[in-house]
Amino acid sequence: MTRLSYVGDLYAVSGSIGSAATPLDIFAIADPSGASLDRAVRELGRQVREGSIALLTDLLTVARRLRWRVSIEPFPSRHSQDRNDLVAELANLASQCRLMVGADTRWILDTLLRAANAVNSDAAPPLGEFLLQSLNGLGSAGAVLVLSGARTAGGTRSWLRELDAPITVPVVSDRDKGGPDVYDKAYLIGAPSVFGATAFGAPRARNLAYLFPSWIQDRELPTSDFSSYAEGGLRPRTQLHRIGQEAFIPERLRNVEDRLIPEPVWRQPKPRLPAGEAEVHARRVLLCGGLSIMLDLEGDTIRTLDPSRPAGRRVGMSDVAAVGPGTYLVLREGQTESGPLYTRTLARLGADAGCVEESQAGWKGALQRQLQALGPAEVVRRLHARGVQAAAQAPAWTAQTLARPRSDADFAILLQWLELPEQPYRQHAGALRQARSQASADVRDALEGALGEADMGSLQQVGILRLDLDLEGFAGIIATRVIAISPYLDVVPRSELRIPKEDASSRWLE
Amino acid sequence: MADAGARAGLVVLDDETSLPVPARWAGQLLVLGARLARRRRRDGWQLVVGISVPTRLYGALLISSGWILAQPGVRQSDVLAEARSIAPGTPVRLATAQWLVAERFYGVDSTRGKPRIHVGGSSWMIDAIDHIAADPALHEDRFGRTEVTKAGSLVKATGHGTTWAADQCACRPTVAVVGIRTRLEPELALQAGWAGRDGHLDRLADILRPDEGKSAFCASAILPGGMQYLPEAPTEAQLVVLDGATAIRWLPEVRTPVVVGLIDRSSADESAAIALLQRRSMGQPVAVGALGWDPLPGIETLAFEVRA
Repeated sequence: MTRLSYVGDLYAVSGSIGSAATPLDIFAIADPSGASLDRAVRELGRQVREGSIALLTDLLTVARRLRWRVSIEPFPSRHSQDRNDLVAELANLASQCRLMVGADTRWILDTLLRAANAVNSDAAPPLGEFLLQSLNGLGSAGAVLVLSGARTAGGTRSWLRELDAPITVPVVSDRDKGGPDVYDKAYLIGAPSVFGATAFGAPRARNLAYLFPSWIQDRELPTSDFSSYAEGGLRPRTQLHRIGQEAFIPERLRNVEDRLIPEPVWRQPKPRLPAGEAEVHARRVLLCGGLSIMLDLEGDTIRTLDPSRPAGRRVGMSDVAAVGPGTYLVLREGQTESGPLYTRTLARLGADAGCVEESQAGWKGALQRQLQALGPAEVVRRLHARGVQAAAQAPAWTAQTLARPRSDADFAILLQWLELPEQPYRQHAGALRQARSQASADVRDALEGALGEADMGSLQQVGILRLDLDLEGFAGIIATRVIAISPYLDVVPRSELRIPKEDASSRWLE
Repeated sequence: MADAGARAGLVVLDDETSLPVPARWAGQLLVLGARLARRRRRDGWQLVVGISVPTRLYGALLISSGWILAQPGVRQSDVLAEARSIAPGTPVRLATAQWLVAERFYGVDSTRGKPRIHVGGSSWMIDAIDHIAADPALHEDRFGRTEVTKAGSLVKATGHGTTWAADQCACRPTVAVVGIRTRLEPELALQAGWAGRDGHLDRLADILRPDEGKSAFCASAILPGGMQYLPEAPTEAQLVVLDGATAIRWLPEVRTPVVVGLIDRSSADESAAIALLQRRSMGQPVAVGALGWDPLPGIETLAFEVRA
């Protein structure tokens, strides 16, 4: 199929599904072992909500993760990358928790462990059995299997290959780009909410079927806000097929732990104000590779990477506010890049470096004295009153590595307020900023060079990539995908910002 | 353009395809651009149209091409009178059957036989000239000659068959596409034509003639959307097409009278839809029917006006 006929088909199929002419099939498949696990996770969730044992929260994180894998993996355990590890970790945590809890909770732990062992099986779960029947019955010609995530797709491929009667059918991850064909039938393994509105907004096939265990209650199609407001908005129709019995969930557990897609359990820090200049507000950002960073809100940009772009154009600077789950951050291990970048910037300035540093120290020192004398809040208030747009960032302007406020007007007002002449400060800060962007371009070129040879496919699959740059101060660079960002603000020392650290809570979320 | 694309006549071709394939979807997007160009503007208001399509492929360029093809054809009855009214030394644009010329005008020479027009280092027979116009603001960097592209079946179907050389000569970049250039540039090779009409297919590149900073004869500009600021659109731009989420985030900063935001549904990024809905909350809804456009099922549309 050529690209143009693909585009034509895509419009036609999207119109047919969006106007409800072709219904979407929903298959809810009975899965007793999965249902027991689901019930146990809900019971545990209730305990965590009521209790105060931190270790139970960790156990819940692992149990949710296991339930999630069971809901999207159609294959036996041995094809799963982490079902075994999850069950082992769960058993380990449960045995530690047992010592701290009462008899009621102990009963829940035992049930959970039994259920976990039952889903960790060598036989294909009912979800997989039903998928095989469908593929064998209707034939797999013109069909495609869509799995949630590259790892699940990989597991499915190895399972189908090793069957007594192997099945050849394209298996893709929901993150893979569509095309070059619109298939006849797509089997999406998981509940509709797993695949988002993209699954039917840009359909991979003329007919879509969602297959998932019947203990999943949320069977609604995800909606897009745009569709609900737009004229001609997509209004797909679904047809529910119940395969076997529906799972029973007691009333008291219905609204507990009913969100399937695992989310991190954030602990709310005690609210407090940063003490002095050395501390700032930041959010915890969980990253692939079992890492996390504290990301400040004051800094303006952060280096990011877009693996879908062609080699040589992948690295860029993004607004900190635009960073979200799925963004790839480029970080330096052990230290942020701003120190080495500053050294490089001074080198770029050559003979001028000395007077630029001196002039920078002049206005930054004056600002620092005001911050100490009046306190940051008062400085921010006064600057704001004088019309400084980014007044809230004033405490950050004292950092040596930051050339100057972003806006010309803000900088002019700031100098005026500090009772300093505009020159030479403005000229020197400008020179520093320019040299810094040249230095930053050097780093980008080196990164692009190293990335040109790196395997973007594997980055997208595992979520993290380590690079060694041939550039002083820039060994040990990592590119890693953001998993989640904490809704809570934490107060941390400025020196800890943006430095990747090992973080166990991101381990089971990837 | 008349309801050219809405009937089943539009065909498209690219380097992978050996025969033109019918493409109603492409016709629809051309028609949208044309409708927006023809719509009467409301003073002090900006028209914003968000559309969501199953794939962004070709969408932004087709809408822009429709816009350009809906501009009225340029007719000039008296080339000589026009030339005589131009002060010597003024930069001019000139079209013959074969060439588009941007150069300095030096005068009309009527001393021997038929008048000749001196432009740059050449002198042109008056009969050979289809169009001439002074363009005092034209910079020397853009002086030069470009070959006229011949009108294909789509250009003819939209009423530009007889004026195409003059249209190319007079055109200004009235539309800017903001998006990822490495994706947009290969799409310029798409050819579109009108089945049942004479002539070859027209390349989108020949309709859009994007500004590369060298030629005077540009009908559009393609601007990168992935930067930390919104690149400046040409001053003549009346329409900006924001291609995908990276471009749509600039919506609040676009100042042209008409803006289109193209949402690619194959991307899971919801920020584009959010940006459009936020902007809409500040505006007044416009019914899609009022644009004279009747999209196919599968194309979602949201139109509104906001105070400029």
